[in-house]
Amino acid sequence: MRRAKAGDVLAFERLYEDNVRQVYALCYRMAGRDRAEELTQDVFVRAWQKLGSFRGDSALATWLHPLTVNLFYSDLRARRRHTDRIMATDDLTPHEPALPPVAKDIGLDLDRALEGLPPGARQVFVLHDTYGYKHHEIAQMTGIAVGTSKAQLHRARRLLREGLSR
Amino acid sequence: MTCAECRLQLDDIIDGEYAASEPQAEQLAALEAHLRGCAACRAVEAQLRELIARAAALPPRMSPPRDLWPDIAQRVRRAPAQVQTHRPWTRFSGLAAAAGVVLALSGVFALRGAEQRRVLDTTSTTGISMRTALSPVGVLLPEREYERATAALMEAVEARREMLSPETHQVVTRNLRVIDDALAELRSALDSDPGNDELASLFSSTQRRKVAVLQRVVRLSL
Repeated sequence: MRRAKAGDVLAFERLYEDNVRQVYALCYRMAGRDRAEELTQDVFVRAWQKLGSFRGDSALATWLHPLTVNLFYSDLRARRRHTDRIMATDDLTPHEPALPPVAKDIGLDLDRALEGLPPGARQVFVLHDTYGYKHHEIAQMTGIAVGTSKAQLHRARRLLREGLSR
Repeated sequence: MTCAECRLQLDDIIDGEYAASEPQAEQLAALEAHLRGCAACRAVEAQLRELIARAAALPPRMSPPRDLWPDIAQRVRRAPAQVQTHRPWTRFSGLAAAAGVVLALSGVFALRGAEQRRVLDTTSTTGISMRTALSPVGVLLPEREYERATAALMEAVEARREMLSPETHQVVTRNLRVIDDALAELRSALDSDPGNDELASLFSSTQRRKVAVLQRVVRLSL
């Protein structure tokens, strides 16, 4: 860590190897398959730039987690400013996707089912049910109201539950 | 309580959102009573609990489909690591730091400019076109263009390091770090407040100052 903080790229590569799979999993679930690789790269470039602020009070993975979530939302807001067609995070659109049936014994299938959820609902579900964030924390990170966060979670769970029960 | 009302409140019950809330105790009792008498809602509750358990058990790690490191390595080599200061960001810190750099470097340039200027080929030893590196800075620099521009200039500075005196190189390095710190502070402030036009403008002008400083250093070493 000390060498990476001093600008040693090889030392940083080791940190990347230790943490890339966790970061990629979060990016995949938040941003979806298409954007996950690019977001993962952006996270590590930002981590490299901000490594000087990492004090070592926690594991690097713990430090990378909010950095990833904040980068994701910051990128989402920037994209939304430039493209009106991007769906708002708290936009409860009337369209309800038909999710594929979810196999009961394979985690990967739940990941696949997550991809079929509306983005706002998926992000809240992942943050709340997979990573354990509370509604008020999600509201703070995403800029949506606590009530909207709850509504998105309810919607995601209902859609997934219907997928599970088929 | 209807089934629809019950299912709306199941999320809060399962998440423990209001179990301890005294005013809602009556509501909770009504919901529990409904669940005791309604097999369909009990089934929904069971499905919900199963779903939540599965979500929490999702694997925390996933391997990307390809090695992402080569692209990251390229980008981090162009974006030197920055030592983050912990003082709170202030409105004028970015400009003040950048202005300080320009002042500090002005003295160095005044002392050493004339005797070190030489005529070299217009293409650097690293293959970077000086025409590109020394071209005028645009009004706005998109992130990747900025990274490319500064990386090319940094490479040119390093390639000509021996043409700068150790003192000059030290001052340049120290002051570039000040600019990088200012950029890191501004970047962090922008992350928290991405819609702030004033911050975006400060960030952009500080980036331009960094490129301008690097351009001057490269010119100085020609």
